[in-house]
Amino acid sequence: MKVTIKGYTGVAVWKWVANDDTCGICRMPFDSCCNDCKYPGDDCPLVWGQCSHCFHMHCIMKWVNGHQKSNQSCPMCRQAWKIKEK
Amino acid sequence: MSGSEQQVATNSSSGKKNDSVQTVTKDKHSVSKRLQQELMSLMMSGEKGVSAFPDGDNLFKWIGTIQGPIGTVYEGLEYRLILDFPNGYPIVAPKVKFESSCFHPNVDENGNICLDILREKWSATYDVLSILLSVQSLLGDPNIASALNHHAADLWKNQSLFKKYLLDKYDKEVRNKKF
Amino acid sequence: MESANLLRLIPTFLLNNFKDDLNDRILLSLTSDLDVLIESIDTNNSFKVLTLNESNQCGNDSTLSNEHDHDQFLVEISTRLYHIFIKYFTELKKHFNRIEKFNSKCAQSINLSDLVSYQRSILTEKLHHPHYELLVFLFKKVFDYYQTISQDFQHQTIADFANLRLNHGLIDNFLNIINILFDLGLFDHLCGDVVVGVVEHKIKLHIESTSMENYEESFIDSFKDWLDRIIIGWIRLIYSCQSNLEHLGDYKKQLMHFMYTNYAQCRIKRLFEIVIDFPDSKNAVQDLRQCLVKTNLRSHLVRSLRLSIEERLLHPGVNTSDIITAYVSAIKALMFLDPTGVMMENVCEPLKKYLRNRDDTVKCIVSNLTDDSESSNDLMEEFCKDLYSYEGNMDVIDSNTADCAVLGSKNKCWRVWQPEPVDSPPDSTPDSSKANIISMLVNIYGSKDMFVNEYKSLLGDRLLSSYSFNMEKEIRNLELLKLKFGEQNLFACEAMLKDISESKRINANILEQLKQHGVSKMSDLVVNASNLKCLILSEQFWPKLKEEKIDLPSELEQVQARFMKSYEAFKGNRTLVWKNSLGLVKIEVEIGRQIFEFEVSPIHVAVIMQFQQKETWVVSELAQELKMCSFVLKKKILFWKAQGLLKQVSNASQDDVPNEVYTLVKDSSKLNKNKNLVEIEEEQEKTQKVSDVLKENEINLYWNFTQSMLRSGGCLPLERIHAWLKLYANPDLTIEQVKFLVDLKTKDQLLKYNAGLYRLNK
Repeated sequence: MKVTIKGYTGVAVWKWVANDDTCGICRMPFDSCCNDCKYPGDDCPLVWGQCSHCFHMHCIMKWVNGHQKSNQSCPMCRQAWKIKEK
Repeated sequence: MSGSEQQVATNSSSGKKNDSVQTVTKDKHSVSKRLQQELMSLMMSGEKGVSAFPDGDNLFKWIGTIQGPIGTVYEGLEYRLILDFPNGYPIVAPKVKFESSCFHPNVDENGNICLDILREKWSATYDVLSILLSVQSLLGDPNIASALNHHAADLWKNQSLFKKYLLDKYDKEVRNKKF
Repeated sequence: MESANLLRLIPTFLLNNFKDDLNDRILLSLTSDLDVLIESIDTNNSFKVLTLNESNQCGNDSTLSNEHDHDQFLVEISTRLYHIFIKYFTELKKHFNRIEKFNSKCAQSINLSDLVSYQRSILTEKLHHPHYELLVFLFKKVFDYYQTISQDFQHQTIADFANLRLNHGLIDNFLNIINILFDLGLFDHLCGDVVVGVVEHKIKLHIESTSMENYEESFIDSFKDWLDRIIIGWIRLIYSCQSNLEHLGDYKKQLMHFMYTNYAQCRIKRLFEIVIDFPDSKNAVQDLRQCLVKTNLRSHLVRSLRLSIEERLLHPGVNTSDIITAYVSAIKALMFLDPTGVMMENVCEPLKKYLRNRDDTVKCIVSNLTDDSESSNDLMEEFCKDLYSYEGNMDVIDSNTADCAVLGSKNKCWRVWQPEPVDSPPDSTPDSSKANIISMLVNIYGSKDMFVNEYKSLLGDRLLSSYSFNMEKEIRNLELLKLKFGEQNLFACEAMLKDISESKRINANILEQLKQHGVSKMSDLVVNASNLKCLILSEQFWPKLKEEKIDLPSELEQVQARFMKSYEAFKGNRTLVWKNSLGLVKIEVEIGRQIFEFEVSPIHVAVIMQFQQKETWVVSELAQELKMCSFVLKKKILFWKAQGLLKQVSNASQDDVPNEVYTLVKDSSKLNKNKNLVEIEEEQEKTQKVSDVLKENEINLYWNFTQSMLRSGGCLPLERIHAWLKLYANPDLTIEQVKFLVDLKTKDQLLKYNAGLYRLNK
């Protein structure tokens, strides 16, 4: 007997490659979206700081923009928030 | 929740305000989602010593309770706190104050608390549980340098005297007021 | 004491003073007279007078060949009866006189009137029995006759009745008998029951024969009229020789009530059909509604309808869509019958429960709500057509239920109800009432959330079993459902559909990438859009996906790895986790010189490919090789066994799955060529139904909620605890479940219950 694979329709789930499962700001899973969004993934992406902490982009933007300008720090480690370019 | 949203909506009959109102409503929605999430994880954690629950149907105002930390003068006492969540939560810190009167160096006679994490040290990653635990630990570990209640701050040095005064006051002002 | 002495006196008294005593003489003559009568009836028309009952009464009607015979016969009977009574009662009167004379002579120790009434009661008791059936028969027959002639005369005055007697011998004879009974003071005793019995029997018969099979007309007015004209006229006739007709008013009320009760019962007997026929049967329901306020039959109605629903609807032989149609009918009919909705709730409870446990209920509801193509069972059209007419009723549920509870009388509700004013608030527009009927359907699942969840898993199953990117129909369904349930309740479903369309885009991109990299073939798989594709899901938004860990054959792993690499390149910072119990693999199996094609799950491929290297496997060893559990593996093996590719060699005992041995079938002629078999997978794992019983971890969670709530709120009533648990913890929690929780904690002394309030026991 010989079996050969001729076609494949796969089912997979996508995941963010991150150290954590949930966003510390909105408390939603990274693989879900922030509270302001309807769809996860492209519509509600993650961003990483140079401190290596990551958040939903919308969440950290709210924190950085809403906070006093002088103190734009990562809400996790209080280091200055700078987006890590990958 | 929906009631307050409606109220916001009716208050803004003029067209110009519409945009800002929409953002407020949207914010409220996402804040209530986060608060809902927090409540659920608080309940799942089953944390002893502190607890909190929304004040009735209003998800934006919670009543918290903390037990005095064991091994401190506050051991065996229970205090009630009011947590008011603004529409900007968790970007903006909630307003937290004691409902019961609390004799403590960092708590004034109106229940206002002097605690850095509720002010300049606030972070969006803090939550109700971390606030309550911080306030709880503040009880046994006051910051004498930034006292709001100077009488309490002065008395703190003499723990037995402090305790006597505290218990007298607690009996008079907290226990008797209980339901 | 006195009455006992009296009793002992009587037999001796009778024996001593009346040698020709009552039993022997009067009763004997009476009995023989009756015998003659019965005999003549028997020979005449084979009647069984003494065993008359409703059914052979009807039969007898048909044996009477013509109107004339009928009349003659009745005249005969009544004449004979008349003579019997005359003879008998004359005797009786003589006796009374003698007794009285005797007593007046020696009335020292015995109270005279006591004795007389005692005597009379003995006599009438003896009389009563053999005559009852006969009298019933007589009254029935005369009534029928009366009914046929009553059309053409007004029976309001004594003169009318006199006229009637003059023209109809039967009536005349009949009234003569009655008059004698009245004269003797025995009418009420002998005929009271008969009059009532016959009248009630006739009312019942009339109601049943006119209305039982007819649900389309209203009958209440015609019944009232008939009762007034025929029945009351008949009673007036009977009592026409009595000047005292005062009690007639009360009697009429009684009969009216009897009529309502009977008509209601008659409707209730066929209520199932009536409900199914609604709204064609609207008049019948309207009548019943009127009857219900005048009678006490609500609980009987609920019980009876529940029973017929259970017997006729709630069994495996009935299609789910038929049950749903019946349910919708029942909602509409019962809301019309009782706008408070209480009756509807009570009746439909078992229906709801049954539907909740049927697997295809959501599917049926969703397809009913969304299918505008199929005309066979178009629920949607029904909704739109009828909504206006029930709008008012539906509104009552919301606004008046509370008032009703206060009044304590649900019956009053619909009388209190007023139409909505023109400026009624926007939530009473037809749209909201439409949502109401639909929400009733949705309520099968306890709440909107549960229904949406059911829909979500249905949608998930459908999308994951079709493996097609064609979702136009699903998108349209979802749009329709969004109109009804609101957009935010269906976000997850929208995200699921978005995943599918997004997958299509990603697939195209990845295929393009592979092409650019010159990858045209992976092992034997030719890379193109029809051979390689992947559904990429946002796990948080899908129903829980089946998880089966397994080591895949390297060929397949390579394909996955290559695909994943391209995905990661396309979507930075994101990766894929494969769900290997889902998906389809197209394989070719070459046996001998023949090639067979299969489309199976990756796990099935993994299993069969193991037999490529080694033809015989012990289940436990293969399980170890594939890193899966023996029992799951056995199911996959059975699939290939059913295909004819594998066979069992050792006969391990039935419970010893791990030690069973399977080997490859090398003879291609044994292969099962029936392609359909591919479809019969191992039995579907049923999704766990929501159970009413709380699990332990749920109890702990809700207890944490309750504790915190009581710590912050002080003391609370059960309803409050329930409301907040519903608001903050789980909208589907029932008050019974919460009651269970607080009872449990009260028993454990963690809660204190006092004056309706719960508090923490510190």
